[in-house]
Amino acid sequence: MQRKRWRIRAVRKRRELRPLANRTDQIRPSDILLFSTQRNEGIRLPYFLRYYREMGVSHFFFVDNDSTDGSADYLADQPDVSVWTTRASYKRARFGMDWLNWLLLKHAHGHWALTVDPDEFFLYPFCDTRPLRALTDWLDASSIKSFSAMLLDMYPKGRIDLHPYQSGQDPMEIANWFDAGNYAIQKNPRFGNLWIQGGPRARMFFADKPALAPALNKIPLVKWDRRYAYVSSTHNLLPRGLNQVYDEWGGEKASGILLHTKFLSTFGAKAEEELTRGEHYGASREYIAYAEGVRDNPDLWCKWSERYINWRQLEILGLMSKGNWA
Amino acid sequence: MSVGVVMLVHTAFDRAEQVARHWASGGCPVVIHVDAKVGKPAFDNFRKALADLPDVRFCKRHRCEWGTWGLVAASQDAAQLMLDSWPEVRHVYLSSGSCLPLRPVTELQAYLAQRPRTDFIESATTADVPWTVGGLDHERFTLQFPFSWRNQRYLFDRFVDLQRTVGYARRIPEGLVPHMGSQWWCLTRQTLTAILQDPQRPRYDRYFRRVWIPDESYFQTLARMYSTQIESRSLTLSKFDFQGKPHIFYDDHLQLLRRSDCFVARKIWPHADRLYQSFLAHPNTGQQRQDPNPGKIDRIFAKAVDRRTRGRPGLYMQSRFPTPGWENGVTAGKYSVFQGFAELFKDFERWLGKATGAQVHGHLFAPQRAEFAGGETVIAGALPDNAQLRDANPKAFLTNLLWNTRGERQCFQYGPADTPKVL
Repeated sequence: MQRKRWRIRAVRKRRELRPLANRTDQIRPSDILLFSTQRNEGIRLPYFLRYYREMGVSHFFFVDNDSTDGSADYLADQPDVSVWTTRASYKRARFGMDWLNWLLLKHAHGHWALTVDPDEFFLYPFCDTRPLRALTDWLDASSIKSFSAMLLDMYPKGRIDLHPYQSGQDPMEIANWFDAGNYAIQKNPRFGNLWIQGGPRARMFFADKPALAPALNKIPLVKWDRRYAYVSSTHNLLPRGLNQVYDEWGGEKASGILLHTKFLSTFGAKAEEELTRGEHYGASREYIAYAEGVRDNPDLWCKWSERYINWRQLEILGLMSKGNWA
Repeated sequence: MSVGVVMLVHTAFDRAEQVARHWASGGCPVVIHVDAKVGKPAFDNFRKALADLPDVRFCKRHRCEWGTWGLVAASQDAAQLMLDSWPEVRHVYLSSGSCLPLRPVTELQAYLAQRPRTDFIESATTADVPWTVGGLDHERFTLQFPFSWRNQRYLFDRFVDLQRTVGYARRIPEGLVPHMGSQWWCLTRQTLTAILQDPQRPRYDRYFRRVWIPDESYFQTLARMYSTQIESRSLTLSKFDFQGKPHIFYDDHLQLLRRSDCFVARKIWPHADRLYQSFLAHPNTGQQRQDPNPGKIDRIFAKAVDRRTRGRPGLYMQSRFPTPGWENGVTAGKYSVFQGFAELFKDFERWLGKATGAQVHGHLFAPQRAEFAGGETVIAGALPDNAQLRDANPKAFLTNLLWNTRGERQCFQYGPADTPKVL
């Protein structure tokens, strides 16, 4: 029932989208597709596109939410990108999910679809030696339809605004620290997904109200079918079986990581802007907390922070797993 | 021309073509079976691509669903065509389109020439094999399987249950002792001829047509009747995961495969360019060779199966969240809880730490904050001492602490003033 509701909503919200560049006729049946919403992320886009092109993404779908920095035109000029733009409310489109659900419904049926934000960088086991297609082929052969990748907040050492980020630069050069072992997990009985909280945002900004700390569980890679729908960001989706990305009998399923590079020098301005727009989740309380936190103490680093090396390090730390992929 | 290669192909034709060329140019005649499900244009293209090679032939096509008779029929026809077309072939090597030869063809030829009467076929009785997936071993040979295990699993299971309940059992033809093993074999002309020309063959074929996964038992059983010398192992390196699916090899397995000294490996990811290039274009010759020795690869894949089925004890994460009772170890290590000691004995924590070398915390579940050893506010894993974060999920707090400090014994104090819901 609920799945139908989200899908109908998505179909209704399609009217808010105006195509800027539609290159979907280039898509071949075996292509891996990427879906994203963005607003004024122009500075991040060059590296983002390069990162995922090298990984093996064949076509990008963007919903541009009324950017003013020229990023929509930049995207429209790319040969492997299709862009839609909208001035409608991000919040009332359930934080962009209605728009993406519509594009997924329309274009992703039968494809592997990766849904990520411009500040999220996907890692999977063996990503330094095997292209994304190796993973999706293996998932196909194993009859696995969805693949989880927990959000791992990355941060620099020192004040967030200390190292200015340059367009095209690898953000992990600056934000290369993370919290290795302070994540709390609960099961969400309604959708069957895990609900994970923790990391530097819980430690620094939500220590006195832990229940409100942002969710870190994500399922960004799905062999899409037109009957599917994301519910709340990419935290969970329907039908419920797709949320069963974890083993309950002691074993480990294969999983990845989304390196979350929100905390760059661009963050302060972004937080202020998002705060005045009030378009974010939970009455934008996350951004309210940030704006306060950013003014008080912008250093997320502590002496037990871990410096990022590669996916194998994250595997050993138990943040992701190879499962039975070898 | 001592070895002929049979290839069963259903996809990745460019790779199959490459491998067929490799065998043929090494002096091995090749018979290719293409799955009947493959469309005519793809088949014609594939055939045309290999038309310049006189020693490559195509046999009659059968439909090959996983675990069905079609695979046996394909192997029979291809082997027959091989024996008829090239009288000088002494061994027939059954392989698939995703197999990759790892050692130079001449080495395989020499190896087999030294063992002219040996059949290499993994073949064991149902009592000997622990590796069957799905719980069916002897019953493969005595029940009926009209439903597909892959697409009609529910009906498959119910029908098996029904037959068990009513005590149904097929009769195994006289003289047959069921054996099973890897479907990738290398048999001598004598053994193959005996199997294919047996006057009882129609009877055996009728029987095996209805056995579950006959490609793992037909030749394995019949070879036992005729072979004078069986080595019960496959010359093809092929590893299976916990669900019985073959593991796939990628570019990063290059060194492992080289050191395995196996003749052929399966299955190779079709886009593993480096593997194909390394082993087909530049097979490494002239090295000190040994008998195939896949030990290292075995270990890697055994570890993968263990990780998938048992996991790392004490780890709770996005893809491992065991139901209570299924943790294989609730925490990453043992820990000690002291109640009342710190209150009775002066400087107890410091003494305990010195005496045992363990990390000794104060009251981890004190109402104000977690009293980490040494008065730290954050410890390993960036776990903070904040009481509200801790109390939001005290179990996660403790399992995180023990995971982050694994290898070092943890001790902590506990008293009536501490937050009660954890112990």
